[in-house]
Amino acid sequence: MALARLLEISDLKKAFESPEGERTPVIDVPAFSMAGGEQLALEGASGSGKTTLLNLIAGILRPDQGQIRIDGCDLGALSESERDEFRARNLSYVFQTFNLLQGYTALENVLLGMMFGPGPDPAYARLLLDRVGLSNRLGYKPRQLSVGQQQRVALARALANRPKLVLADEPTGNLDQRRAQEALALLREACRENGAALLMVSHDRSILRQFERVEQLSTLNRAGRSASPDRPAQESTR
Amino acid sequence: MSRLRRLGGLFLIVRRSLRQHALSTAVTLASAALASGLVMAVFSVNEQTYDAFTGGPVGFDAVLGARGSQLQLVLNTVFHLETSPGNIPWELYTTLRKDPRVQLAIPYAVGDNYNGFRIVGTTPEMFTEFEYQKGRKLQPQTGGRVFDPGRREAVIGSTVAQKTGLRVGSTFNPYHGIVFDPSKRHEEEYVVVGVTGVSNSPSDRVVWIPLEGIFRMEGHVLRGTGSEFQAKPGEQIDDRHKEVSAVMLKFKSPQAGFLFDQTINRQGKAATLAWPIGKVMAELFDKIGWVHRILGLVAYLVVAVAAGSILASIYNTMNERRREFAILRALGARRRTVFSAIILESTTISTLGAVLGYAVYGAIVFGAAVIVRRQTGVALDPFKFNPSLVFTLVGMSVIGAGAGVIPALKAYSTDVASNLVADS
Repeated sequence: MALARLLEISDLKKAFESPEGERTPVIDVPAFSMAGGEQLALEGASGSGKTTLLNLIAGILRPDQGQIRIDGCDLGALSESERDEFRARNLSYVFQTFNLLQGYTALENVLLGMMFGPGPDPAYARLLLDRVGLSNRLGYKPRQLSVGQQQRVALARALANRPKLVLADEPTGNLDQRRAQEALALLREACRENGAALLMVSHDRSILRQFERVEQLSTLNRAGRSASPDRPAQESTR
Repeated sequence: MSRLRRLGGLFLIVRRSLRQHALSTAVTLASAALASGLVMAVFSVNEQTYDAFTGGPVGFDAVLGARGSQLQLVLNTVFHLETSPGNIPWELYTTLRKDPRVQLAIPYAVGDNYNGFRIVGTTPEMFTEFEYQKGRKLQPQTGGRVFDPGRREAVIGSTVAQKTGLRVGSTFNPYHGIVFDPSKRHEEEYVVVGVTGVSNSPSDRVVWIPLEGIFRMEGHVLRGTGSEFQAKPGEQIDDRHKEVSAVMLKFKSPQAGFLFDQTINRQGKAATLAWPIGKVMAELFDKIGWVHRILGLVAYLVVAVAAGSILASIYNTMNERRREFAILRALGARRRTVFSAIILESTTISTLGAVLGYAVYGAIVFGAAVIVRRQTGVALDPFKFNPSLVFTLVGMSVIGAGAGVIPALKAYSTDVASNLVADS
């Protein structure tokens, strides 16, 4: 039985203005889709537009053209605050740099992941941290945790709002090979258990080869073939 | 429910931020506390001193004294400050005492002190008839009594007793003048026969002796007839020679005060009637109103500095917090959520500061109360309600919210994508 489409992208375009004032296309994806619960890896070199594509899917960036539908909802039809609300309830993001909030404990970081979505559920937050082996580190702040432990807190936070889609941007990029494999296994297993789809971007072959479906971003993204900057300085989130 | 959830999230963000920037939070709290404490103290002390000096426990309606300044007369006789403007003939006192419009007339004769506390010569009516507040008399406490007008006896105020150690049975020698000078000791020895209870009025700082004692004090000269007269021991003093510094008056009706004012101040030239006492003191406060305005201005400036300090302390953290805001946004926080978090943070600092300001207020008013009491005998009450105690708290909260707007706008405009620092 074919799974229902969770993510559908059509004719998606995004360009950024360079300091010289030129419009440089970064994303030009004619079509892309993912099914609910699917786990998919996007392979892309640095500067190929991976992060921009994830930011567009997350609703953090607004496309210049095209459509992104998640679970039937057209992100382009939503206002900024509606996109924020949608993101809080349906999506989560795992970053290469973890992006944990430094002043908050591991438990609070996970609770904040729930705060703007379904609401804080301390019992579930503890369960998630227990699942990633940090039940004895609930009150630790990120700087008191090892890099691997920080990544596991980030994974727990990503699952905190029971998302339909987890976006992972090189989530193991800061880990050594062994920890990277452990973290990936944990992320994939947690997504499976929660019924969440996983869209992960990476350029690490050892990571990519574990996915049944791997797409080349250079094939999907016509603009990425000319390799453009991924972190625009003059883009707003509107 | 979702609003409550967001509010919970906001409070968590604020709490963490305040803790993370504990030092700047503490400094900002201190400045907000100082500002609000100062504002409350300025308003409260001003109102209380105004009330105390214009309508406090005075007990008399008017003061009759030598021709001159009404204010000097009131300050000298009611508050035992300043010098006496001069003397008036005894006859004026006896005339007023017999006047049917006068309920009470008590003579004062001043010019001596004991260790800096003013000595006032008066009659026993000061203790038996005069009420400094309705139903409250300056009665000697248990174990004491009113002085015998024919003896060298004294009744002292509670502050005098506390500060000098004099008690019933103690003896002392008066000193000439209103400023204590050890070389001007009078030879006459007085015995304390009573100590009055605490009245929280200037009377607490007075040594009361019989009028006759002032008349007969060594070196005192009476000029009631125009020529100098010094009574010899045992010699009867003829009323013609007698004079007093002032006559304290209580009228049977307000109309009487008006009529006396017309007769004495507008038509007569022999004396001055300070009536009503509260109005005379109110004029003083009007004259020195600029002092209050300057104090108020200083307090408002401190509030402005505190508001600036709140703004600066939060604004300075904005750069390091951009990533935090970007992460929160990526987690689903709305722009207005991070905006509200900053406003809530600045409001929390200013409100907590204002709450701590009550301690600053208490310290200032306690200090002011000690000074005012030491100087005048008038007691201020730090616990007395003043509207500024509420308005300042509310005002500081509003000012704090206002101070947070600029940093909040900065947080509001944080670009999520460029501040997530995710390389690819």
